[in-house]
Amino acid sequence: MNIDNAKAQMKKGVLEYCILSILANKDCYASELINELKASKLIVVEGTLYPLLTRQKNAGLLTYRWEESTQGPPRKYYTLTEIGKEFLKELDGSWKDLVKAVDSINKK
Amino acid sequence: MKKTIKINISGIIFHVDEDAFVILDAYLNKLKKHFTNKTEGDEIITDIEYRIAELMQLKINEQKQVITIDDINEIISIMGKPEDLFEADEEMNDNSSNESHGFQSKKFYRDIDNNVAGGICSGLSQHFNIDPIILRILFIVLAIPLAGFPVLLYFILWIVIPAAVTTQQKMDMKGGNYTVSDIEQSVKNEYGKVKDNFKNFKDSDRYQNTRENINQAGNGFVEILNFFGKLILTIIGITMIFAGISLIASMFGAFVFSDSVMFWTYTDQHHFLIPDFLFSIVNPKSVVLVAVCIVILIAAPIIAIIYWGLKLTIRFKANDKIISIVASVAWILSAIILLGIGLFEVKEYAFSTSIDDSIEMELPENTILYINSSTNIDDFSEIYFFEEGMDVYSHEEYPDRIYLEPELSIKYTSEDRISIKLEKEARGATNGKARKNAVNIEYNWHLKDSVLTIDPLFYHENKDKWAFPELDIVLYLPRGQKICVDKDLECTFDYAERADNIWNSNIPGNCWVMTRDGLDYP
Repeated sequence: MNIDNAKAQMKKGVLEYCILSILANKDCYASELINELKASKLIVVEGTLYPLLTRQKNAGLLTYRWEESTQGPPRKYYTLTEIGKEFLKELDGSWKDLVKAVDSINKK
Repeated sequence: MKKTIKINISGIIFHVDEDAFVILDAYLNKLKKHFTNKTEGDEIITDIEYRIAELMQLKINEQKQVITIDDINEIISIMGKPEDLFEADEEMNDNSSNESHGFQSKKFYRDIDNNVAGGICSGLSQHFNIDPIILRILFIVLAIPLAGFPVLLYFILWIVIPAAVTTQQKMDMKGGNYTVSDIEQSVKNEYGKVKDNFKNFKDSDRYQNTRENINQAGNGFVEILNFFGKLILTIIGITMIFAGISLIASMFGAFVFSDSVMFWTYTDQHHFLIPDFLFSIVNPKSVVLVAVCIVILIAAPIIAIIYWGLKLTIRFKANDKIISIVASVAWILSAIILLGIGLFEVKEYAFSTSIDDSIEMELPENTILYINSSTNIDDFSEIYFFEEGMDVYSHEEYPDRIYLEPELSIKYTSEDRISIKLEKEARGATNGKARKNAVNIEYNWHLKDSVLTIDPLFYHENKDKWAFPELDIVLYLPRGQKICVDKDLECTFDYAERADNIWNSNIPGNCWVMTRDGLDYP
């Protein structure tokens, strides 16, 4: 059992949850998301994010719109869709359950 | 000073150092390869390119206009190395990881950074991750018993394979973490993939109600075709290489060694060297040119075979266009030169002249004339110019001479004396030269008592060149003259008039009497 692998597995689900969570507060473009995720040390390299975003978008959880940027290329701003919001609610619930479950096991 | 490249990422133009560009390009290609089969792949790449463009934008300002290799390395470390990305992106990883450092990702280049001579061994060692020392020793060990053909192959490769000069080529040359043991692994993987796909194919064949399944089946089938296609191409390639090398070997044999595998000689009795042949028919001045042209004419297609064989076996990048143009031009040029020389040489044989020498012989009445051969023809070694028909011989003591067979015929004469007529014929550029060549035909015969001894061969001094000399010996016998022809003269004997008009094959070895109608049984 590889510890890095276990960590990555764990992070993966959480990462998807956190992306939705951040987007629930405000619409973001990729760099903003990256900054937040990096700050909370959820991702190390930025490239990881893009396949996730695309997949979530294709699953109908997210949409995006283009916005011009003053510096650099236009930006893709991601927004939660109704499905995404529902999805997030579900995840919120299961996250709380998970934390509870883990806590109760660890306290024993 | 450094060369920069202008690139367009996400609609923004950047100036990038060449080495930086190579790395960036390789990075993006690696990503593209990874995501390529997915519908979302293009989108992911586009997003990543946008981000890279953004990061690059931050790297340039009024003073610093150009993206350097350090910038690119930093950007890549921010974005994540392909391995890191794919590890996180597990869902996609399982399909394509095998391909990402497979056989295909490496190209064969000459490694001129670690070379001894042309960097072939070193390049091959990079290709197969073997220590170059092993290959070099193997090369030297093989070169001796194989009569230096590996050396020849080495030079061909040296010419044909490009050196890894640019960073991109060096990266291509080194490829992924590929070792010899991985070849086996790779074949297994490939086989496993094919098997899986074949299973998919069979499964989906059973339930072909969904389109996806059909797609999978298609993919599976394509994979199978790919695998066997590759295998077959490699086998064809290796066969072509070996065929080419053996053709080259036999060509060298024909030009250099006396016993060759190819051309007109097939047993060790027949010594025929192309240079000798050329010297006998072509003007000595143009022999070298003609030989070179013939070599090119034969070798160019053979080398082409080896080249494409190599191309099929080991993937390498070379400027096919230039190589094939050069080869074709060389080939056509030598064909034209040969044709030109050929036409020019034909002129040398324009005229044919014959000289007749007639000698009368005195023999007592009622003596039987015995006719036999002076030497055995076996003392001479035969040169096979052409398959049959023209028998040409040489003799060790007289390398300048070529020996040919005269043709003996026996005819009736109304005179009362025996006479022998030598009809010498030769060709030349003018009548005079043809005559001179005819005069040069030397033939020995002598009459002692009643025995006429003739040489089985006449010779022509080969000083100038082949003059197509011919010699007819006509023996005229008066009526009633008895003659016994030795059996040894079978080769020389050509024709005799016969009283019974039967085909005269048994004349040598028997005794005859001349009548008005020809030879008859005594």
